[in-house]
Amino acid sequence: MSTTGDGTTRHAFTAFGGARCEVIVCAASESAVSAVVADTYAFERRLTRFDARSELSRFNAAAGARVSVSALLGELLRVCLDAYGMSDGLVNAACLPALIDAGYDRSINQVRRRPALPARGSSHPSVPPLPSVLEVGDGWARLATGCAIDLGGVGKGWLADRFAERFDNAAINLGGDLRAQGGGPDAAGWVMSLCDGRVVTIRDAGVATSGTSGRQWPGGHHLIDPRTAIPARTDITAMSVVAESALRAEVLAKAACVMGSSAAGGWLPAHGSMRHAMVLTTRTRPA
Amino acid sequence: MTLSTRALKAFSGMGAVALCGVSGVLVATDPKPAAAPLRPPVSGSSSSASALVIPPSCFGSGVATGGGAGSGATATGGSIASSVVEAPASTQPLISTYVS
Repeated sequence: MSTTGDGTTRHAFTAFGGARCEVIVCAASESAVSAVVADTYAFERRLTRFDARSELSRFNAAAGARVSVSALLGELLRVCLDAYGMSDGLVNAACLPALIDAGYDRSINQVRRRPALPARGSSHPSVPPLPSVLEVGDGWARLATGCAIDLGGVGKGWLADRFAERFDNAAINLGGDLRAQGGGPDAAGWVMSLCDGRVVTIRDAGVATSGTSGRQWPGGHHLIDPRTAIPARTDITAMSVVAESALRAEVLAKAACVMGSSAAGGWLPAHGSMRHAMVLTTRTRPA
Repeated sequence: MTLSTRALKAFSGMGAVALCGVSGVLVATDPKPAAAPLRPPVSGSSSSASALVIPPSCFGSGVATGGGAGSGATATGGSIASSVVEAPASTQPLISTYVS
């Protein structure tokens, strides 16, 4: 953790399976930054799909039955349903079985170290619509038999937004899902670069970058197209979206990646994107 | 049998020490959670630095408007207006984004 002369405290750490995270706060105590880091790890422990003891894993294992869920998991499941609606079904948390079929069945570092698997399709023709397989009530939830949930970037975006609410002036970056609150160190806004290298100044907004170049391995990547239940065949390598929140930015960026550049250009502004930038497999196209 | 006041005080003191010792052992051997529980309040806001706050809805009913290359000011029904503006090319970014 480092504190500069202007009172800005900056701390970088890794979480969510090796993702780079960073907390930058102005005029806040180091203990507040430490609380963010501690809560990030606690969040990950509770909701990782790579630990059978986590609440999310136990919820997935209980598919078919109505089970009690914590307020945290209940809220995140509702957020997943919202994300599904906002993305026209392209961000579907029920994609976990398809993700496992694609080879992402262990931590990303372990998947990358593993020799390439022989090509195989998904055992499902498509990912079922999330509202048809997930019910969430007050303190309970039910997932249809055979289904499983992966919170993915939706959880990180949501958490970045919650952390930002603790500060008047801070930027919280959780593995590519960033929420900036306030005007930054010089009160002129938070200056940041998007995936195509352009630099923008943002205030009270979220930024997320998604794409196929991040969590990929020989023969696959982690962006499942729910319409086919296999990794999306897209021309977008990376997509940055600026929106009102990190959560919305994450959902829009992921959906845009799945749909491809020709559809994304018009779809994004109509769904709340304030600015976007994309890197294509062959060239860079500014928005 | 009679006990002197001094003897009564001594026995009482030894009893207190024994009681504290047993309590100490019980506390020390009590199983503790491996990590601090994360218990967000269901609604409302909190000034606590370590509490996760769940808002009524993260999306609300409004959908933000705004174009991909406009001036950047966008509000979505909240009291705080989000904004984004292009920075001069020579500006050094404080934060670099990357694919998650």
